[in-house]
Amino acid sequence: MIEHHHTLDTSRETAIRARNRRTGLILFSIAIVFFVGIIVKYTLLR
Amino acid sequence: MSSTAIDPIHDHHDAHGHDHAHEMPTGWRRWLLATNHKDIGTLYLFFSFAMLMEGGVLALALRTELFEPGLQIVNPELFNQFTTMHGLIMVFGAIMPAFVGFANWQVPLMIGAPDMAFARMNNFSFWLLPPAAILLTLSFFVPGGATAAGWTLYAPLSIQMGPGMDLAIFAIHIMGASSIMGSINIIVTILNMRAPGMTLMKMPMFVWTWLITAYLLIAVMPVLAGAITMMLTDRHFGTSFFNAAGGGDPVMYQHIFWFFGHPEVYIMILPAFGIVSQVIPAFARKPLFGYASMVYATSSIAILSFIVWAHHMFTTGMPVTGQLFFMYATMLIAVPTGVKVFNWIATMWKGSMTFETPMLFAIGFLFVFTFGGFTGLILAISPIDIQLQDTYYVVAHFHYVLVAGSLFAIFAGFYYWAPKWTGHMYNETRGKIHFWSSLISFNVTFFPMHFLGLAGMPRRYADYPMQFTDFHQIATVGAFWFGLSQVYFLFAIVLPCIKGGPKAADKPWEGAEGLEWTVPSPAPFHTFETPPLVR
Repeated sequence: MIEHHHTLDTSRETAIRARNRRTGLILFSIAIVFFVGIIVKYTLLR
Repeated sequence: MSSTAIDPIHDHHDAHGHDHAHEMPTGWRRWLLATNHKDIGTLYLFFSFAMLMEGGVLALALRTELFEPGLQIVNPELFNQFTTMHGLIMVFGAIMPAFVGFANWQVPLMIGAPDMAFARMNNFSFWLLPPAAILLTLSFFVPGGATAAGWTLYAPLSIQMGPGMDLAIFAIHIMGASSIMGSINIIVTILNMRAPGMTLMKMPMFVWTWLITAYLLIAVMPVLAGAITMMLTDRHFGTSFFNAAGGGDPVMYQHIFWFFGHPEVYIMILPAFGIVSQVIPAFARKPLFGYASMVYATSSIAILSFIVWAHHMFTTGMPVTGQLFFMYATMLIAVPTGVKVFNWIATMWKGSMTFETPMLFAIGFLFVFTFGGFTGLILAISPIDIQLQDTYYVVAHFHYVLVAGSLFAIFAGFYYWAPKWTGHMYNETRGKIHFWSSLISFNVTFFPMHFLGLAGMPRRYADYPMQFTDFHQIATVGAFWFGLSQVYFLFAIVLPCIKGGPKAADKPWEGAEGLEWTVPSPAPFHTFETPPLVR
């Protein structure tokens, strides 16, 4: 899905890009929650 | 998997004609600024092979020292640095990046996507790895040398190590970030960019296993990052998470580490299961037996992997109920794993099998990985584990699942897909030589280690009593033989296959199924710009 691809259906590509960003952000948040969570558990919640 | 029939109207996809030269950068820019999933896959695979060689040289240094009792080649401190770095480099530098390389190459091709979802992040994921590898390697040259706490970096040793430990922590942070970005990319690609008609339950098994693996990675890599961050603050900022002198708990480190570490084991084996699940049906010329049960078994293994971590810690002392829980939970994993093994066998049952190199490695995997699985089951039994903890029996066990499991599956996958990647067929005779040489030398190296362990030889020791000499010498001979087999693989198979050789057909394997075989060999720079329709 990089710029120089000649995807014929641009509306489909735009929709997929937006959905990719959303899914990616959700997954990234999960990773951050696990990272912060484990440290918080052993500092504030001991 | 149900058949992936391609709509003929959509089948004249852009793979054949839209490879405009101006779209493909050349020279160093092609690799440094790569956003193409195939190029990044290639980078990952070369990087992991380089790391395999580095980790292999460290292993051979260990085996040379262990050829005879007493100290000959390296002092015990350096020996411990070598064991630690061998483990870290093989796990984080060789096996994991190799599977990410396979994912980069194959996932878009197998689901009919034009590229990975986040092409630039993909570039960043890869280019984080070389600096991490350089940091790890350079740590040998700082005062005190590289970290020698074992790849598990247990406290309190890891809190007391010199600056080499800090470099290792930094390197693992970087590699962890790379893994997390890579797994986000893979999940998003699989969830959002499948070709029309490619429902989840029509996906090839390799894609399924990587989807599940990527979720495991996102769940556990941050936990490892948290553990080593706490270690870093213990070392430099006056905290006492793991330092008993300040009221901390070293055993807590082990709990956090293994909460990462056990799913990590499955991160390194589930994609291998996926590759084997592609190869066996192709060469048995039958669809994979029990596709749905394979998906559920993979998911079950992934879920169970989160509730078994303390089986690595039976000797740290825990209540009997705790031992029983972790023992039975661990044994439970044998059920879905058994489902997979029996499904592979059932796939081969009454198939018209041929034994090209990918199939040989897949069947070799089946035999030797299953053997490693059985020794795992033995080690899961708490009273036995208490006897065998930190002996060579454990070393033998995890090399059976990581070398004969993960690495053999990587080889199977290479031989299976290399015609698609390079456009050339590898030399079949040389492939078979590589297989038999690797299989036999692997067993010569690691089988005797079971006896050493049962007799009480501890792991991570540079010296040993006289009675262990024979088995150690056999193992050392096997190790050099195995190492040379992989050099042979590079120079007699990989490089010639890249340079030339017989032209590979678009679908070089008669029984192979899947979208990757509908594009030409070698796969053009851009594929599936117009998505294929899967029915």
